[in-house]
Order: sequence, then structure tokens, then C-alpha cells
Amino acid sequence: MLLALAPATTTAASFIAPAKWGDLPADKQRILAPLSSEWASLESWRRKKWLEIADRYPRMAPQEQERVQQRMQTWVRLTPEERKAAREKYRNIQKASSEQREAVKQLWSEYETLPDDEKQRLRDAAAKSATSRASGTDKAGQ
Amino acid sequence: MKYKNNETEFAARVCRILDQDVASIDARVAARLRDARQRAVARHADLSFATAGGGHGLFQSLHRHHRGLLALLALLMGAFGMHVWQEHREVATMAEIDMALLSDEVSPGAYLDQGFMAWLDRLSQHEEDSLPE
Repeated sequence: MLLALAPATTTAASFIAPAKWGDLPADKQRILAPLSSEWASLESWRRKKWLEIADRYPRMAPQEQERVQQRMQTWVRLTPEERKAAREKYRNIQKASSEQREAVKQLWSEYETLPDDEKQRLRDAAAKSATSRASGTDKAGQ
Repeated sequence: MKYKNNETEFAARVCRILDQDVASIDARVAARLRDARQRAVARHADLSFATAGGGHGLFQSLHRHHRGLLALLALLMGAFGMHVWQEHREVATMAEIDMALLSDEVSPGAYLDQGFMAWLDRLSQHEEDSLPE
């Protein structure tokens, strides 16, 4: 009955997530190959999530598939807090108008072309600003 | 003494009459009477065990309340099913967000790059300030 109620995009595979990489079907192994070394260490619900992504993967555009392949491993190695923060910021940007979202894409591609030392300078300035804001809040709270 | 003798004689006569009647009872009626007696004795034994307490008594008690037990099992199974379904919904939602985030033109690293986020804020602020009143 549960399977009958599941969304159309879902298959039974994502209800059960084998802990052993070798127990995954061959097509899932191919899609999730960047995760092979970390698979066993992932929590059960994360393995289910990746199987769910693998189910949807064939319906993605080739360029999107390529991006997912490139970013999968880095994403999995982030801390839970970092992943949560990234999801929240992404969702906030998705709420903005299409022009604003387009502007963010444009700015990101510009930012990526900046020299590394310039990027570092911006990061340092942001960290300094965050520290001074935090100490200002502390003083105001005293 | 004579009264006592009369009583004994009366009882003997009653027994004789009953024995004669038993012999004349139909075999099927006799069998039904025997079954009824055995059932009554068995029920009495069950009640004795149940009221005596212990594991066997508990089992008998559970057996008698099997309908309540089945209802409880159905409730537990329902709760477990709901938990599995809820977890699946949460996993599906998370998969949807992560898939969109990982396949987007903007890398997930952008949202964690303090330099980029500060740059974005500064440029947004600058644009707002330069807008005509």
C-alpha cells in the first residue's frame, strides 16, 4: 500500500538502501560511482536519498548530470552544518525573481574568474566584518 | 434404628431405578451427556489455571483477549507504517533540493564562500543605493 501511495518519481529501491556498495544494482553503481569509497559510512537515510537522486538522474539534462557527477563527492564530504547552510541560502535565492537569480549566476561566473589572491582578500574582509559585527552585538547585549 | 434402615433401603431403591433408566438411555443421548460433562470439567480446569496466576494463566488471559491484542498489533503496525512513510517523504524532499542544488549553474560552493556572499551583498547594496529615487 505504501508503494502505491509513493510519488510517481519514486521506486521501491529507495525504501531499502543496502549498506554494502557491492549490493547496489549496476546502474546505481554507475551513477553514484564518486561515492563508492564513502558509501558504507553514510547513514541509512543519506543512502536512501542518494538512491532517490539516482532514480531521478536519467531524466536530467546531460549538462546537469555532469555537474552532479563533479560535485557529488565534495558535497558528501561537507559537514552537516555546511550542507544545511548551503541549502538554506540556495532556497532563499530560489525565492527571488528570475532576474535576480540570473544576476547571481552572472556574478558567480565573474567571481570565479577573479585571481585567487583577490578572492582571498574578499574572504578575509568578510571574516573580519563578521567578527566585528559579532563583537558589536556582544557589546550591545552587555 | 428402624428409621435409618428405611432410609438406606430408600436410597438403594432410587439407585436401582436410576441404573435401570441409564441402561435404557439412547446411545446418542448418552454420548452427548458424556461430552457435556467433559467440556464442563475442562472449563473448570482452565479457570483454575487462569486464576492461579503464572505464565500459563497469562497466556490464557491473552488468548481470551485476542481481539484486543489484534487491535493493538494493527495500531502498532499502522504507526510503524506511518513512520516509514514520513521518513520516505523527508528523504524525497531532501533529494529534490540536493539534486537541484548540485545540478545548478551556481556551484554549491558559492553559498559557502564567504568572499562571494560578501561580494554579492556589497554589489546588491550598491545597486540599491544607485537606484533613482
